[in-house]
Amino acid sequence: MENLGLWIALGILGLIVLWFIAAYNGLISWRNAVKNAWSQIDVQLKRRYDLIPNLVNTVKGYAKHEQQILENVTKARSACLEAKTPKDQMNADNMLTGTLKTLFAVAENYPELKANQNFLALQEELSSTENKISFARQFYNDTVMTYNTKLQSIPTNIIASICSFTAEAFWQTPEAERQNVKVEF
Amino acid sequence: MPQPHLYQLIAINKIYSWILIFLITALLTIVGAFTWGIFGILFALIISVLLSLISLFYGDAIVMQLMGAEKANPDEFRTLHNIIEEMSLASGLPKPKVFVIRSNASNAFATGRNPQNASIAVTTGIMEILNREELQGVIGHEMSHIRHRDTLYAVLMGVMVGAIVILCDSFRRSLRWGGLRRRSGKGSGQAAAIILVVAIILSILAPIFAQIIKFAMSRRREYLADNGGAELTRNPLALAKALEKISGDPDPLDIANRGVQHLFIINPLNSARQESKLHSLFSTHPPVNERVKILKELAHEYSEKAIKEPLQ
Repeated sequence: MENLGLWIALGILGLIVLWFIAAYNGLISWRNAVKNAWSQIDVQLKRRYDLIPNLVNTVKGYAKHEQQILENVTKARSACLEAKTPKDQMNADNMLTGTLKTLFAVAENYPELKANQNFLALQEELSSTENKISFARQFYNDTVMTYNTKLQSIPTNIIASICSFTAEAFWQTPEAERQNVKVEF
Repeated sequence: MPQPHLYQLIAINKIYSWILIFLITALLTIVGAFTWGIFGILFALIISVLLSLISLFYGDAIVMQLMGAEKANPDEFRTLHNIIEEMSLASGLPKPKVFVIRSNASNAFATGRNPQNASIAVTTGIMEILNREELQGVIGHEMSHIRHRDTLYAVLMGVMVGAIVILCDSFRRSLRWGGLRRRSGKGSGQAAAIILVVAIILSILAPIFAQIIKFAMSRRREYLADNGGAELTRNPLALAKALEKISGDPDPLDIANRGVQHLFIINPLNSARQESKLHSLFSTHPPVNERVKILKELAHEYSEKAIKEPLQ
């Protein structure tokens, strides 16, 4: 009888260990999913920075009088690259989106520019990249929500606190940008 | 309609796919047993394994070939590639292979056994009548089919149901031309006779059942994919507008047949477009006006949510 009790206790202990391993691995894979989702945003942001010099050069040839706007775009781009804190990054990002919109609005006044294949291709690439950035952020937030929910629910939260998993931050979108994200140039 | 969880949808589709494979194996085995005895069973098992493997691993290629789809050149179809990349980012899935069908008809479909081996095909006609946002809605819908693993089930359906119908027909023919007489002559007992009757009934019913499952399942899937697509783009109205435009387009997709019609976003067969009562019973797709209505309600829900909680 004594032996039976021991075996049952061992069995329960074994189950707990198995559950612990499964839940721990689940948290790890979700945390990696969050990291991966974040890096997808970075890829798209970088793509946008890469496209801009090309765009500026193309526009320069047709719209010589818009020097100021082109300078603003270039400035906003370098501000993005130099940004250290997430808050700076977000501000610089918004500035870049804004200046790009002005640039594309001004381009409407130059029929030759608008007919340029290279410009049209860049326009599509940039508006698509803007979309990709916002979709990547959307997916990042969805992933963070799933991860945080797992982290905070009973009984996974026990493991989370023992192994010091912490909740990830959502990407906060300022109201102004939220409305602008899907604008077609 | 309550929206089931993503993992539930995936699980259901996987279970259905296994059931489909099992049913077809069982059917072929019975048919084989009565046509060639023990060799028939062996033969049937080999055929079903081959059939399953072919549908799983080459089903997408077969469907693309049947539909006359070609790989979309990234330079020629830059916007299409971009939109598909956008939707794969929104869903967190790898980018599917991109195909185009050179046709004036406006339609789109997705296929592939899993998200890692998925493809999306659109006609050149659909790219002409839809604007960027609307096309994004359509691609979002297709991406949701991939995400829900509807494409796994659909590709099995397409290839296997086609094969089943051919086999059942040949079985019925072989019964008429002597298979029945030879068996009953041996007098191997009542049991064999009962199994024979069951086999005949099965061979007649199986295609009908297959059709019914196909109809019932695919209509629900379309609603769910509409919903999923709207969740990806956060823009249900664009998809609604796209559905209205596509269904209003009179060009039928000539190459499409009954075997593949369930794959498309809108039924490609012109005859099935008329939304009469009879058709709503047998159609593979729900009526477009119903889908549009649901999407508009969803848009309303989204905008209310946005007012209540403007930030995350």
